[in-house]
Amino acid sequence: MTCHEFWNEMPELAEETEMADHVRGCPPCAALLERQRALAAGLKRVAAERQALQAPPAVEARLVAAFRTQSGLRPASPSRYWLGWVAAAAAVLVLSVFLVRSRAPHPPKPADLGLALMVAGPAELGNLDSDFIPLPYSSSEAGAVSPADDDDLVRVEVPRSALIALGVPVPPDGGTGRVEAVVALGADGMMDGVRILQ
Amino acid sequence: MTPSPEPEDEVLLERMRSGDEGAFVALYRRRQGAIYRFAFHMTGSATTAEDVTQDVFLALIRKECGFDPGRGTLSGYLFGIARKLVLRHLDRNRPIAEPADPDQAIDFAVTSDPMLDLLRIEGIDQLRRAVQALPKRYREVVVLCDLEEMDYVAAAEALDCPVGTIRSRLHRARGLLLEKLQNRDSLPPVRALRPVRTLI
Repeated sequence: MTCHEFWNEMPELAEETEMADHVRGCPPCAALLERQRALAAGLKRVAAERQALQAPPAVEARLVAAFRTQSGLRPASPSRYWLGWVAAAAAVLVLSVFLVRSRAPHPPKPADLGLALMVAGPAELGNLDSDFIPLPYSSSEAGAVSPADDDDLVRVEVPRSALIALGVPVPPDGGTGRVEAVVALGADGMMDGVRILQ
Repeated sequence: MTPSPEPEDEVLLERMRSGDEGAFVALYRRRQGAIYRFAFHMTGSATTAEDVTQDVFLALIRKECGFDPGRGTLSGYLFGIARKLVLRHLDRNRPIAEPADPDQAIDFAVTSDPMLDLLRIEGIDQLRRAVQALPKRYREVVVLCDLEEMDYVAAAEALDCPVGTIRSRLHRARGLLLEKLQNRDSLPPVRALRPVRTLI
């Protein structure tokens, strides 16, 4: 192998037999190869020293701002930051109210109690102001209830067991298992109170 | 459980073009260091390296960015832009003359650019100066292949030339470096590498 051929090959591979033979037999090439290796080592030192060099953080900040402008995004601001938190809090509040309302027991509807509805005649209504018993979950205070003006009064037949379940005092069983009563239905369709007719 | 692999440049670029700021930041953080160091090694100026890095990524952000994944890697594309900016800068800011008083000139440089203090460290100072004194076409291959440890194919893509050209320029550049290191007195002082605009 000639010197020209040696340097036309990759001197980095000088460990290969033929190239190594040339280096051993050619002091000028051996010296130059040694210097080249020293140079490579020096360049590695320079590279290692500078490896940690980075662009200053301000460059990233400027580029992100430019990116937002280019993308049509609004720059981040404290007000936007707080707006997010306020929206999240409002969502939690709405969800809580919904859950509380959905878990609160509703006053029973007549159909829930298996009532047989009939129109209440004047004779059955009796003393409306004093004889109505408030039902659980109704908005009336405990004790007697006075139906509101917009309440509908309906005469019903209701199973004794349903009234007992609601805590309404029921007269002794006449053998039918059902009790006649007048219920006051509020504007929302819920029963506000009941009056036993028997 | 092994961590999921980092998305490739092209994936991040696609997300970035859809307005994903996180993808842009990830891409920037992955590539900015090499671009910054390339510009710094080529110009010897931290300020210029900062400007070049910013301009390279601004070009990427613009809608008219012409990167085509079918023609090469994103890294090569970024280095290609950086190289054009660096060469433009070097052409515009050629040193016009050696200062009459070398000591005064060195003080000037240190005051205006603290990064040059690195060049005062003994040991490999001569080598750094020799690299910066290389002609541009040789300096860029040394910076990419030796300092950034880029392979020849990637360097050829970045410099838009055949791989054979990279090899031959690198061979020639190393020869020039050895010559310069042998004749240390002939090395230009650091001040001669300073762009004119930073001396004003």
